[in-house]
Amino acid sequence: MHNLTSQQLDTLATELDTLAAQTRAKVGAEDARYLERVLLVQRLAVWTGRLLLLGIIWSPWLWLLGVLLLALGKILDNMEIGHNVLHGQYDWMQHPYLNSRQFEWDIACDAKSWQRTHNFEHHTYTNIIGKDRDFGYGLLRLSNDFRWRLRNLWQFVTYLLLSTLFQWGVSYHELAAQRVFFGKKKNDRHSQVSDHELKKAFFGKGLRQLCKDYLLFPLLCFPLFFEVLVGNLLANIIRNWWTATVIFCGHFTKDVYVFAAKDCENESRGHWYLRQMLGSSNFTGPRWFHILTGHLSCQIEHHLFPDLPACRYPELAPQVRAIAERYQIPYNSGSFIRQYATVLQRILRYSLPAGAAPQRQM
Amino acid sequence: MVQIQGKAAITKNQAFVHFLTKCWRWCCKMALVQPRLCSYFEPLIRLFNPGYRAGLISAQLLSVSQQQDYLHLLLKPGKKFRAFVPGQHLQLSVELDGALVQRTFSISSPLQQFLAQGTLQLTLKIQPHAGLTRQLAARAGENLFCYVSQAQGDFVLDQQRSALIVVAGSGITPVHAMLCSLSRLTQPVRLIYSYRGADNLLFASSWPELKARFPLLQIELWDTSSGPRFSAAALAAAFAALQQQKAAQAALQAEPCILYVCGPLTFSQQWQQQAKTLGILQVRQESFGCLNAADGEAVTVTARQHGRLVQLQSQGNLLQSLEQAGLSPRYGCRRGICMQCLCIKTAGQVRNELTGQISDTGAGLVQLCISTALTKLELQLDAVSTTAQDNTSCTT
Repeated sequence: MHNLTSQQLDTLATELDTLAAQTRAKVGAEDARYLERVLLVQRLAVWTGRLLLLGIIWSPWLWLLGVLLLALGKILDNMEIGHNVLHGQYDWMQHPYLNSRQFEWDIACDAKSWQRTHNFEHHTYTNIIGKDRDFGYGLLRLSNDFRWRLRNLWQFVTYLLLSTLFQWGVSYHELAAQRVFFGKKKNDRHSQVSDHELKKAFFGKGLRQLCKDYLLFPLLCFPLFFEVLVGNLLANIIRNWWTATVIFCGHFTKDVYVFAAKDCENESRGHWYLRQMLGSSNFTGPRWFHILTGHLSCQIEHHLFPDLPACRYPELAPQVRAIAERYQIPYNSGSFIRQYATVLQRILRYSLPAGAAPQRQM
Repeated sequence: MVQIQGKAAITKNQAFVHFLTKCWRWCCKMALVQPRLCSYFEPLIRLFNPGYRAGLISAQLLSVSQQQDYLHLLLKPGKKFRAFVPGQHLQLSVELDGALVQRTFSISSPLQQFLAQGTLQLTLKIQPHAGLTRQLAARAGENLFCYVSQAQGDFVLDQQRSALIVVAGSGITPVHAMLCSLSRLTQPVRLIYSYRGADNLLFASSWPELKARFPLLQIELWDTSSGPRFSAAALAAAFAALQQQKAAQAALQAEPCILYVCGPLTFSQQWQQQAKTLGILQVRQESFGCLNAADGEAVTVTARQHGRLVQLQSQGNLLQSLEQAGLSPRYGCRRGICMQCLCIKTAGQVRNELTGQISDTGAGLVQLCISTALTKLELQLDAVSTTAQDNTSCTT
């Protein structure tokens, strides 16, 4: 339970705002160069990977290396570049296409649709039961606030399937929320985008991605059509698993808090900050590991300052931690393995109606 | 008939080219997830050519020289830059600390210089508060990456008509390009140029030279630091003198004269009003700078959505003002997190309510939900389409 007074929440907001302003003042050429370097590595990884897939005529190991490089390229594109650019972290560069308005990424989900469900819904209503649909993705029961249903019994299998097909899950997320194909429309959901537009974006982007990975590139390497197709499929699956795992470790670990909608009505900026800190979890690792997660290993910092360049999060983390300690706010961080273990635990625990431990709720 | 057939054939051809371009764009979008091949490979190309930016015309900054409150930039634009009509302006983007900062400036050098040497001169006033001009002055020796747009604008001299040109401060820049590019003058032209202090007299050597070259050209220089300001009476006198000069050259056509006004926004508005009282019907004007609204004062916002242009008075939060005016901009969190309401600002200054940061006056991206308009503002609200992308990639 967290009982900060509204005055304390206000000073917390001021402190975090000052921290953001100090960092924002430092953002400049260095960050632009960093993004450019990541882009360069991503392009090189993708194209070396695609070429190495052809190496199967000499050795299957070359093919495997190709698959891994292609997956690396896709992971960098989705996590460190796409996710962060679409958050507007690099909008200050005024770059013609590396901005949150125009960027499109190598994933089945249309960037605009993702911005609505992720940037808006998830980041505004983080871990509010019933409002943040990212909490369980409408498929998994991750807290006692959800009624137990029979299908939760096998939700671990659902989880494995979701991780394998994660890009399609993300892509379908908004259409599921809007009940475009199935289910009865919800009266309390408001959307500025029509179902027709949603369908068009879903099928348009999905089709382009399918054409690219399973038709165009395999056809370009025609005698090796099947090998290239399988290579692309495998790279996509690796990317799916990686992104799903990183995201699950950011919000579904054992110690994250969930919130009730009524407690967050007309919340102050300080309360929003507090909720972001309690609803997210970090994990530790070397620098390359942070980069592969798109710096979502610093999920707490990301949720506090979603529009600051992500490469600044590791330097912000100790300062945020110090602030958290001063206000006695739990700072949920641990090794990747430990955090992931608690995620799996949570999925398994809440698949049963009984035996569920009391949920941390503010 | 033949002509019509010819026209139809061209449009058919154009349609085919358009179709091919569309197919190519779709292929790029499919295979590379980017609308352009060159923007996808930009990071690789920049390894060898660090100044390269896909879709932008790079320009070499040959020299920067300061004259009191002004900077003269000598630029050599890349091959993609087509020529310009003297008097036109262009958008200059400069990479400063990783960001592309953009502002609009008039070309001040004659066309002949561009045709002979491929260079352009931009003359800009150093604004104490505006980022770009101040930074350019401070970092004059550095190797900065610059980009220019194609020249645009219709503030150009009609050589068939007599002209009364009234300019102040850096408003002289397009007029200098116009007059220096002339090869002959058949109509009387009268230039009235106000400046503050002899040090701020721009292109001082050009004026006697131009006067000697063109007998029909009259130049009045008004130094407002030592003498009086240019007044309505002086305008009337200048107009009368021009009419007299015209009358003396009875052989010339008796077409009415055009008034050209170029200067700060208040200056242009003032002389446009005066032109009406003098009975000058045709006015061409170009103004720059912006009027800073006093705290809490409403400012005019022009917003384009679904091809519709809406003008409204905005006070306080931009998103709310736009909604009150009946527009429906996209929005999300309404607290500056989600970037749903991000739109393109083509001109004007805004303040970020969260950080207190004041934007540059040029083109840029604006989060409506946390912005307040400080000056007259132009916004582009439409969600991104391919054409919008093309436009911005050229202008941003």
